[in-house]
Amino acid sequence: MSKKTLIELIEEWEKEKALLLRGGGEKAIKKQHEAGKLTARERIELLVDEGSFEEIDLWVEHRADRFGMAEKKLPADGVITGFGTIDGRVVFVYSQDFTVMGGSLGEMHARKITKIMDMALKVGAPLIGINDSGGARIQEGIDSLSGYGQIFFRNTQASGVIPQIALILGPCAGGAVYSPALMDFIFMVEGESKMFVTGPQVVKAATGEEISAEDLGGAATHATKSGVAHFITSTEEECFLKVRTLLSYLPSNNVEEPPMKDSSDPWDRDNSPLLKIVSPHPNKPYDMKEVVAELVDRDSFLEVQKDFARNIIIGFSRIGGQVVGVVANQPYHLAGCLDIDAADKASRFIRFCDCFNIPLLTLVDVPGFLPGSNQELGGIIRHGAKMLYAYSEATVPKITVILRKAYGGAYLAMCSRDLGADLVLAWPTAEIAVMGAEGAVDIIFRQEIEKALDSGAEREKLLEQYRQEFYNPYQAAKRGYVDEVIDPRDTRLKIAKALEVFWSKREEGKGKKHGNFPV
Amino acid sequence: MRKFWVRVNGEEYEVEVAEVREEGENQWNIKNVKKIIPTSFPLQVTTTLRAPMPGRVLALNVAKGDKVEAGQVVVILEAMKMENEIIAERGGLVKEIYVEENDTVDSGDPILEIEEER
Repeated sequence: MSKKTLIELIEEWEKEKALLLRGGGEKAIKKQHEAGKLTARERIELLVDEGSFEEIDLWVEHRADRFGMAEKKLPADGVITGFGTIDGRVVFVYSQDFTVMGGSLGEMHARKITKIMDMALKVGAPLIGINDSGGARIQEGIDSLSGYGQIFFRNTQASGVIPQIALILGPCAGGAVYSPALMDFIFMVEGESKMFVTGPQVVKAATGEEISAEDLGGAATHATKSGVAHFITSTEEECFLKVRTLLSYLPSNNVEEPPMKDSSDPWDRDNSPLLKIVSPHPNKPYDMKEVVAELVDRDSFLEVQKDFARNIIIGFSRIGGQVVGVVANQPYHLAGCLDIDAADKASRFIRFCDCFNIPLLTLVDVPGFLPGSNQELGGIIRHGAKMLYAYSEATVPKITVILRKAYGGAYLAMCSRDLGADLVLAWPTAEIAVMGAEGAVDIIFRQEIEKALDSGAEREKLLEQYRQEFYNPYQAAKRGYVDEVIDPRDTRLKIAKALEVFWSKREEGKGKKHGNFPV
Repeated sequence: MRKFWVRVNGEEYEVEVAEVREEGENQWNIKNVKKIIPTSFPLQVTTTLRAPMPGRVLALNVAKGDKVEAGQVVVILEAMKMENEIIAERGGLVKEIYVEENDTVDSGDPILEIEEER
């Protein structure tokens, strides 16, 4: 046995390491770049604070021997894993290397990912997964499949403990889509990201339908139609910046508070512009986003799923520097009605906020649940129930402001007092009622209207009476369902005060495994 | 065998038809109907604007042949206690109008067609 000097051993290590760091080699890297994509390591460098990334498991190798795999050397087994910081806070990252056998997931590749997932969970730090993979490494058979299973299991264990963020920067197909789906937020890049359980070829073979990969699983599709993607950007660089912005609102784990940020925007700023934004005529639409922008700390609103189910708005923002999760009806779309997609979108967001100690601010202007057979047959009953469940279950501070309409079941679903709202404020323009005048009058006064000499005039008279009596916030305020009727110009300061008071709220969950959420 | 492109309610179909000649009389047998899902944009794109929910057409702001801009309010649909502004998502020429003022429409009913020129 030849004795090597320490220096020689270090040189050998350097040489070996340099080989591994080349990933799939120059040709494959060039191809990746030509496709407009960055490499796995370039992505991590741009995502985390400069120079903060510490890679682990660079030396891991696969141990497959069938189908010619024994001779194949796959640097880092096609995935880069490790930890670094974003704005000085620890994050764990994995980034699939498409230049190494198409980023395919084999046994050891999966083991590298599960290792850092375990670390992230132990430490209580966010997990960020960069997906760019052709899918399972078929040559490794069920070992590869088992790898996915182990990742899914850990995604579920980590859910509600640490924020989990998936970046789709290339293909993500088949079973692979379910890890991102189990995580909290999915980022996609236009023209580059593709997600589907079965791709266009399989769809064509099975059903005869011809559809492009972009239409089936591109960023636009998932941002607007399926609701799978939470954020889309036009470039990878923009995507990394957006992840950074998102993390600035989130605590690192479920026992931390979300980060405060000093705001130059006075907490008691007068909201006079609201009088121009919101029409006092209840049948005139307005853009709720303008209301949100006026209420929260200047430019602090980060909208989530902005192009999906646009009849409801969700997102993170700050008031007086404190993070709040905003849920608001959007009268500009579908009159602000709640429907299947809106309920699905809002309730998942409410649950996320509750997991991570983010108070909820609910802005209400809702005429009801969207009528129609497609809604009923699509299961609006079980989907709408999600909102009731999510709000009732949430123990974070819950502040509700009713701007105009709050009708029937939809009123209850928008974080009403009865679902545990801590403070319900209403504008003088609020209308809180079991249903609209037409419906109510036709039911209550059916006989009176029929008997009247002039049915039309009688109905009109009764409608007016009903409107006078119930199209206001005072019936609800008399019963204490509304805590205070406020001047709209004071809305921001009222919310800020409420957030301060209810900040220390502590509610223990019931001693049960978990409820049976109406999924 | 002849192929036809057919458009029904703004959706396109490719229909294959076989010509059968019997006793001096021409007959057409439909052999195959395939719905065309656009995968790339043709030169002219026609978009059908549909009612997003059941309601009543309160105002029609455009007429056949008008030029509209993307984002323009083309119809006011009274539904769910709201005068909902129905917006042209793309600009172009109003090619067809399926409704009149005061008509009631159901969710998904076509309101008008806009042909976009590229």
